[in-house]
Amino acid sequence: MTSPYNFAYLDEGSKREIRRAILKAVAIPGFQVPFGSRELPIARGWGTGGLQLTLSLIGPTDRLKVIDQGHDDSVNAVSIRNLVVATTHIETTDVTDQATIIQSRHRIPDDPLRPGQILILQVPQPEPLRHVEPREAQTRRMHAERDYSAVWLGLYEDIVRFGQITTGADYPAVVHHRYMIKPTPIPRWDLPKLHQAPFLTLLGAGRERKIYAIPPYTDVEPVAFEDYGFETEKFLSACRLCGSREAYLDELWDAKIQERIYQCSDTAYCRKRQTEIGKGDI
Amino acid sequence: MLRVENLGKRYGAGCSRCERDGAADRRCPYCGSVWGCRGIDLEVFNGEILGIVGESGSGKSSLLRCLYFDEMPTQGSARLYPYQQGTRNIFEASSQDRRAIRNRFMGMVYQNPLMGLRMAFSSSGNVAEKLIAANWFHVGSIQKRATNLLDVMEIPLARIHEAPKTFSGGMQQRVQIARALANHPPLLLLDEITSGLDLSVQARVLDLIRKIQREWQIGMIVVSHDLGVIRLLTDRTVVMRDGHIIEQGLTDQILQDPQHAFTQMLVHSLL
Repeated sequence: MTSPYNFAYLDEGSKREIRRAILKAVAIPGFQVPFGSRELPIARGWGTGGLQLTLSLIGPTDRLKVIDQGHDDSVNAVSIRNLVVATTHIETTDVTDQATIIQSRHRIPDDPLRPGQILILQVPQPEPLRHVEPREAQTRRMHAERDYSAVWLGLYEDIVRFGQITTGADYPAVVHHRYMIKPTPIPRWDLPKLHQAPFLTLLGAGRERKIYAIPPYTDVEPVAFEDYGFETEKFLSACRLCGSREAYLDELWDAKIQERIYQCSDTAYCRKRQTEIGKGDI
Repeated sequence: MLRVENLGKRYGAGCSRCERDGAADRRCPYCGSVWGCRGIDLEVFNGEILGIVGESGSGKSSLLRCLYFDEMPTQGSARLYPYQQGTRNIFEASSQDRRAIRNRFMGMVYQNPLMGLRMAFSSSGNVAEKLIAANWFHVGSIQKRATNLLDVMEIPLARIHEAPKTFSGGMQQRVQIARALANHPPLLLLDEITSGLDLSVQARVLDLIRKIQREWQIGMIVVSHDLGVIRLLTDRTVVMRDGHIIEQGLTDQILQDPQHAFTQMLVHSLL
């Protein structure tokens, strides 16, 4: 079938430039590499950073999985998947293990990823220092000097006010004992999955024009005080569909039974578990 | 403690003529560059308070900003004894080292609290930031230290978790002093700390400074255009005019028996 688009939408020069930025990002784990973010047929803020990474890396033999907050079928995930398929004609999948490239918004799949897979995360705001320092030149200087005390201060203020760290998603972490990153708004639950992960993680912010990376088997340490350590979310209940207690759960309100219910945020993981326990696909 | 030699700060690109004609006009007639301060030599000893006095625009604050690395000087050197036993010019240190010097060996109190405090964070948080920067990572210890310091600075303990933007000018200055003292630095820089405060608040802040100096034996540089502040606080005084030091000596000597015509005018112009 003849496509009116270049393979993977972007022209080859753009892909080359983005790949160069990716290589630099992999070579300096956690460092935000500026790149010339391209115009795409989706609006900035809807995953253009992640999409440009996907489009510049994808080849005809790749299998793509796109998820949004853990869902394979949300509007954002479907739109991105359709765009990639329309311009590459590659196969897509919902099964984490079968994918070679996984583009995600705000979640890391609950199924463990294997070596060789690439996780691409869409990032709205890559700069962990932005809420304390609006000037880009200053934040670059602060990164160069490892001047991260303002980020720690934010956590300290949380502890003093509320008795605990209240940052739920986008919890700051230090990569390879050097650069502090915002790991996109993934929940705290997902952050330990990045530590010494066997897969490559690429993070792209299209609107902010930054790419950064966590190469395989790299240390990723959440920021924590000696007496107030890092903690993941705790769930009091199991998934109502698959009974899992090992996955990140969404909290829902069931108006019929007037109760709070929980179910897996990662729909592919939940379906797989339901099949395993004999509940069948829903 | 601190030895400054031939320190100069030029605002503007500069040219070969203004580099060469050291003692010429403050503004270079060829390139228009202005020297904030030039040819500054001074020393501060352990536990001593050095005053820098001069009219507005004489280069006092430029000098202090250079010493605290808010600006990099155009020429000259400064050696701080706690940093590599004073063997290295602190302006040649790497940017990471300069940050460490700021956080461990110096404290700064600005004239404008907006420059020295994070107004959106709590007062205890402002003190905590300085401690975190010096690698304190135990919340309990940080809280204890911040509370003690703010208590010494007479900030009501019930208000230490409030943001300084809700405080009066005098309270903001006292929070700044607490923040500057957080790591018990051997050198404290004070830039016009009583400007804009009424007389009773001024007296309270100055009493605190004297108390801290007496109890902690910290070396201080106090910049002021107010001779009353200089008389009350300092052991030695440096008089600046047009970016140069024109006279220095013991404070009593400078105030009782000024030698330079400008110093005489300054001393006799007291209201």
